[in-house]
Amino acid sequence: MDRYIRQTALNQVSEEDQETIRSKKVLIIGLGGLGGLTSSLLARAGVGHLTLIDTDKVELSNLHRLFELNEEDLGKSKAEATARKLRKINQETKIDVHNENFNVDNGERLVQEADVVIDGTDNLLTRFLINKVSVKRNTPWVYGACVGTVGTSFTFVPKKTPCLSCMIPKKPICTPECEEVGIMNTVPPVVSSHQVTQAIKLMMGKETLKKLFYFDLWKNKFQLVTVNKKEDCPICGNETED
Amino acid sequence: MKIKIKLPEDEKEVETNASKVNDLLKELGINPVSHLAILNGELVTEDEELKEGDELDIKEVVSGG
Repeated sequence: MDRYIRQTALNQVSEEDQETIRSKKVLIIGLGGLGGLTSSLLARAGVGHLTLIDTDKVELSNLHRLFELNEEDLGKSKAEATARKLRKINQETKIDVHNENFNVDNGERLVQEADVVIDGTDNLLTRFLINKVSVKRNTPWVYGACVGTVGTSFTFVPKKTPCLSCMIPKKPICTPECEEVGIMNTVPPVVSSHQVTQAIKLMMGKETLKKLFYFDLWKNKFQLVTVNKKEDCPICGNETED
Repeated sequence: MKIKIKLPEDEKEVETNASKVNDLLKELGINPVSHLAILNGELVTEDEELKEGDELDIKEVVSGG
């Protein structure tokens, strides 16, 4: 356990907790600026099993925020290139790779096999699917998103917190995208760090933040926003705590 | 009534007759579907009633990653 000695030295993480983290399986959907760093943090923290899913290839414009990848990975599968780096970071972490999109055909099986799901996607359509499947399979998931100098995160725990559809009831047709308005490369690490901290707390069975974390790094504004569960939510409205 | 509005690039107090969040967003030319409406620190739906002195913080839904 020498590898994790600085982690288990924390008051918050015991050696038993570290063993618990090692026994967990995390699904990371999307391996861009968020998912790439998220997967690295989880492997370094000693999560036993990671499942990576992304269909994209590494492009030059990705490298300013894909911290584990470099020029030799250009043109290669993001999921496979990330997995190669992770295996060099921590051989004890088992890595599964899926070179495909998260979709209705594979989603339920992948979520069902995971203890925690982490969102590294770049679109709301996939996030609404993650939400629907996670509520159905009773699996917690950690939403994260960023654009420009703004980032946000929320930890969704079925039966305990609102779901994404409670928070965003109508699917927006158009939201600002990184391709259009850009992304400051210091923003995804803040979101990823928040997501991973929440995921580790979930794995350890600790209480997670029940508010929306929203920040603008450029303006030095950090907010926690109360989000309420909607009783008439079409996705989680009938789900109640056991 | 007077409502304090916080927009991503602006902060102001507006005089309005809008009774609901949705009506005020329309007055301001803001699409309610692609924005989060945070009324006095709490995320609300567009049909939430407004009252004198409320503080409405409007943020864009973030979808990038």
